[in-house]
Amino acid sequence: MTENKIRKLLTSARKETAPAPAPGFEARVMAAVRQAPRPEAVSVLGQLNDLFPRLAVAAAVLIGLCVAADLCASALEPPDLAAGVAQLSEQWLFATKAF
Amino acid sequence: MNDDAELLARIRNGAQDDFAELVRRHQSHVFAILSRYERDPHKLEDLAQETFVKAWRSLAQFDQRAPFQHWLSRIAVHAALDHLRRERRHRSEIRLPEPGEDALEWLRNPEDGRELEARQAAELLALALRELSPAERLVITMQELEGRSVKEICERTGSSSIAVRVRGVRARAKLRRALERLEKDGA
Repeated sequence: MTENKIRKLLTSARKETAPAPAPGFEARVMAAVRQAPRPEAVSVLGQLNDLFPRLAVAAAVLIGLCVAADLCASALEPPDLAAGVAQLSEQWLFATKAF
Repeated sequence: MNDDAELLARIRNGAQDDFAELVRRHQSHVFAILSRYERDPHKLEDLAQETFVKAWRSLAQFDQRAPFQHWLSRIAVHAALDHLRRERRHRSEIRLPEPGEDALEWLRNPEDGRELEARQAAELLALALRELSPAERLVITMQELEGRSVKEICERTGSSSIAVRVRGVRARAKLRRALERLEKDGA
């Protein structure tokens, strides 16, 4: 199959004329339109409603990223026992000073 | 007669019947777009009707920044894409008219320099394009049959220019393979 052959095929196909709508087409469209709900102005609530699935997905992705980042950070820096003890004693000291 | 903007303003103010005038004005354009994706005249008319009903339902979203016909074209393209996706699910049940022996002979003979009849070429192409995904088919049809630029395809489909370019290249390769299969095995 040569490139020239494909081009010729596309050129010929491009020349095909589209069929004309059958008589009474617009009457059939209008009959369908009368059964369809009337177009209404888009409310803010409607727009939010349309956006909601995207917002939900964006929020889920953000939460996932935060969890992943937290897991990575804790994997890279394992909790240190000495730091934990220092923190505890600090809290205890502050607590006694308060009294 | 009034232009589209005036007609649309009247429709928005409750003159529902004026929508028929909009349908009359743009029906040929919608049929021209959709006939590239559906060859059966009954299905084509259903698709065109679906396009106009969708346009009616979302008329409030039309902000008149672009001409009405551009907006309507986008709705038609999306209706075509939905249609191709539905058809793909029932591909084995849907039969296309087989291309005539003359068209297949033309395809098989590399020396045959004559121009194929438009209808025969479109039938042959429709058969080969079945091998493509709906999105690829949309891109190659707009590029090669409607002569649209990447920018225009992006506007009408809502896809990025990279996606359109990638689909275009992939679609051409698949079309070539599909035509080679037809050349070897027939329909």
